[in-house]
Amino acid sequence: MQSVEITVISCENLRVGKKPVKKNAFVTARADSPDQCCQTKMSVEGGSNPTWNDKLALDLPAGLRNGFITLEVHCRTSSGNKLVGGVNVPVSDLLGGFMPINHLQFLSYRLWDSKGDRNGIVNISTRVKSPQPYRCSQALQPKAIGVPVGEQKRIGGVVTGVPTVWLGHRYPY
Amino acid sequence: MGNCCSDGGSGRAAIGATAAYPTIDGPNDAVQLFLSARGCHGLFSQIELSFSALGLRDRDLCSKSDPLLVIYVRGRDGAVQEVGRTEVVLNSFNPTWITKHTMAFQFEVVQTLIFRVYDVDTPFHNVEVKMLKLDEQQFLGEATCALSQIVTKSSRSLTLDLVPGTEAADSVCSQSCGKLIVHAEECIGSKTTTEIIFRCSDFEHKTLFSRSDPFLVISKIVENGIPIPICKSEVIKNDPRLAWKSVFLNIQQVGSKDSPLVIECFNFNSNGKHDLVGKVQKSLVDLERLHSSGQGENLFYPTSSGNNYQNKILKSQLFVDTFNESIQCSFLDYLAEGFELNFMVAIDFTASNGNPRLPDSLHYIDPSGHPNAYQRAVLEVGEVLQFYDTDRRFPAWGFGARPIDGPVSHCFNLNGSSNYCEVEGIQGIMMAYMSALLNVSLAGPTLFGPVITNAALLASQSLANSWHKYFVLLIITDGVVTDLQETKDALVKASDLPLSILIVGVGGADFKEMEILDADKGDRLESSNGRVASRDIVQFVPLRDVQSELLLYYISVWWFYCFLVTTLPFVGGEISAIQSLLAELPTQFLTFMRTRDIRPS
Repeated sequence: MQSVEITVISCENLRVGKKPVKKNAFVTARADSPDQCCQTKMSVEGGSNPTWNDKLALDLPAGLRNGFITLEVHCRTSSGNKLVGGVNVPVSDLLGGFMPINHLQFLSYRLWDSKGDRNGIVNISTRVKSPQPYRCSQALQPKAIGVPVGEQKRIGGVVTGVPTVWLGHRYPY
Repeated sequence: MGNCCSDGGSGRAAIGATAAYPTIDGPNDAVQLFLSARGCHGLFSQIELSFSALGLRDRDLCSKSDPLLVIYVRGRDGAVQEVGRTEVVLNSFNPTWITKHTMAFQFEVVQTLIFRVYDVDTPFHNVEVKMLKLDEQQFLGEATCALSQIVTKSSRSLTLDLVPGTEAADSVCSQSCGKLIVHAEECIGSKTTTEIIFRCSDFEHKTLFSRSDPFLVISKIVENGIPIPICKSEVIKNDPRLAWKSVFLNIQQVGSKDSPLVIECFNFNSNGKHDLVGKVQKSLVDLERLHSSGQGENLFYPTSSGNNYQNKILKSQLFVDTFNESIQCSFLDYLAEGFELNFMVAIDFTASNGNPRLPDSLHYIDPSGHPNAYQRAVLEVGEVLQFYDTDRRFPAWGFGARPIDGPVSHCFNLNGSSNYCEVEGIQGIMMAYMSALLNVSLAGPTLFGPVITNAALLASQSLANSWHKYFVLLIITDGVVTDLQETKDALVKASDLPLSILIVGVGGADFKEMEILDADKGDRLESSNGRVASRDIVQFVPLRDVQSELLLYYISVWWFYCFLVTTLPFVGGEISAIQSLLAELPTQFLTFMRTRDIRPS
């Protein structure tokens, strides 16, 4: 069972409705199951660029290697908690490559609101603590890559993997 | 770095010399170029050199030599200029001179030092050292080195052999001329950094309907009362709480803790004409006192009536919420601990460069030896970076060409090998480049993704083994990148690695689109799966005829700053665009190391 320590550093450009968030933003993180949810402190004065530097610890069940950790940014208002935006962080981003255990990684992700629009960026740092060694997924990447001659046109700018409605969706990578 | 002179958009960023954590808005700005063009480099360290020698030649018949050391600097144009002399040590073959020489360490240029040792004859012993005519003395030997060679040694001491040089008028010296030992120490002022958080209260609005987007400019006052800006905060937009993010000041930038500083508060105006709200004049010691007492200082607004300058005291007060002094490890500390900068290069072999055999091709090898644009870029960057790489083995790749009997490759080894990518020294890069021109046929399109991914692989392999290497990839290209999204994806994946990418554009293409990759000019890079770059690792500069561009730049920057600075002595010489790129590297290196709390032990 691997565990990961996520330090939620800050967010940028958060908006609720069309207006920037004024205060009381906080972040929740969960891996797969709702009962394993962690939450940061409230950022009382941070406005639309709150800073927390709060550490959250999550356990990753073995089957979650291809899964996600869901981060959600909420804002406490007089009418309850409003969901500002969220992102599904692929666990492979945390474990991939040649990163040794206990290596501190700095990652940033685009946040998506419930309508599927962009709503800010979240900055986190992660540290995987794991008793077992993991497989390096990029160990055998070839050095020289050849592509066929001819123009590679990207028509229409189709972007892969961007969720249109991120809530509750799983994307195979 | 672009051509924009107005301080809009990304120009709202804070700039100051020391960055303590990764900020999206980097220090590339009109102001930074303005400062560095005038010799006010943000992050340079003062180095103190001390000298001793062993085994000097015996030129006098009756007594030992009385050696004197003269220090010269050789500029880029080859001109040799004397910068200092030590005192004369009497009667010694192994002198240790007490006089030290202090100079600024500039990362972005090769600082060539020439040392000449003279034996001062007895009749001149009472003459002041400065007045001695060197051609009347006896030349004992000379040595040359680059300043970066001294500072990259872990002991910070370099032993050089003294050679007869060109002044061996008499018989060839059969004995050795001796050895010169140069030792470098970094001045402690370079390392002390102060973190200050400023806050304003009771902001008076100029007019009822104006928004306030305030920012601070901190300047130091030089002898004739002229303020020189050293640091600028970010612009606060739409936030009633007027507190800026931390500002980091290096003691050495400021001069000393007692040096007077002017802190001016301006209201940001997108047309570039910022209104002065008010200012205070305090030294670092005064700011420390403000912090400990918790009191605020009223801003004043300078008004002139007749010949008297009167200051209107405003209601707004400036508070110092945080004042933290810390000794930070400098770039040179990391070097002394064995940290290295590994240089890697990737060269564009696409067909748009033109047939290499024709003189108008960007890849044309001039038989007279005049380097083409690609060679110039490699030399200018490689010459500086080579000293920071202990084994001098540089990975070198080409992209966009078809090697003999093969499909188009977007990352092939320049040395023609299929196993390893490294070449020996800058000369090795040149030779591999010239032989590759003969062995591949130019094709296309221009893709950066594979080269960046390869460089990232090397960086992450090194990261897994030790923390002591930082990689610098130089990509030289003549055209706009075709796979912009794939390049962004590769850059985002590499953004958390110890890697900086310098992209130099050669030729006459319009590189406007490439500037998107340089996050200083726009938003942070976003990959196709929603991940955002954790830091800005790319810098782009077109390698053009820099003279005319710089002239336009100076004019536009001067216009912008004519209300902030009245006159400023022109201190620095010309700088090339590539040098400004290189000047950023120590800051990027330090930011990476500091955020991950990697310290030299």
